Amino acid sequence: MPNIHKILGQINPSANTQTNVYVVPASTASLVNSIHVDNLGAANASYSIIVVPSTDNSTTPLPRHFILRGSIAPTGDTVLLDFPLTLPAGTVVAANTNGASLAFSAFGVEVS
Amino acid sequence: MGLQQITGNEIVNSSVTAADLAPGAALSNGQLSVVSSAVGVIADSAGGRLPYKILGQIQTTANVLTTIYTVPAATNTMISTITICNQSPNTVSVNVAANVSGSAVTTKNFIVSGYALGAAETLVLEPRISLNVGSILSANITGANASSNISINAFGVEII
Repeated sequence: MPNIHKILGQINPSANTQTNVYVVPASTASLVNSIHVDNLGAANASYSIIVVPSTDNSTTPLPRHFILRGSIAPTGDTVLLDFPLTLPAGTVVAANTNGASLAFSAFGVEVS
Repeated sequence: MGLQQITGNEIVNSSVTAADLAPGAALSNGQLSVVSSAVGVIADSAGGRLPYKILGQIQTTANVLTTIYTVPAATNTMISTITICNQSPNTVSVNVAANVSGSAVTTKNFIVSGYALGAAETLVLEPRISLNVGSILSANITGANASSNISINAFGVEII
């Protein structure tokens, strides 16, 4: 059972387009240790993060899937979400934002 | 009768087969017997290998105590993280409780009570709660602006 510490995913999504940050591979469980949300733009941006298990449809998330919704990333700031997320295989972590200025990075451990 | 020393040759059986080692089978040379079921093993189930879980995801109903997660049979659980996301336009009051199987939620069971969570805010708990079989994690959103538009996610490890 190797534990691989890695960058799980990095995205710079387009405005108002839900985009996957990370999908847990098959036969793998993951511990997301932190998600960094960096606002490289000149204006504040709002963003949401969803966690959708493989048993649900990640393209049309339900309200229960949101762990953050409408949170603000101030211009020039990085929001550090440093709480652990324990995720089974197939789980999707996705983000959405009202601009194109946010960079999302997820870091953690894959166990397979 | 006094103690008798047993040599290696006296317990060797060169004709051991797989059947001899099957669970419950007895292997004997007339002096010593070994029952294979006496050797304990730890089942390596899929759940045991990859225990990280999304334990529960709910959308609350205003003023209704709702179960987020119930520990399954033959399982112990460590809850690492609970996120409570207010998707409503108002501040709401958050209550979270943990109680053992077969008991009603009373005052002593609350781990968060009356927390004022603002609009578009997320409360993150890292409670490291250990729960035994049948224990229940639940939440209630109360107060003047009680809303059904609050999502609660619980993450952790199930030990089978």
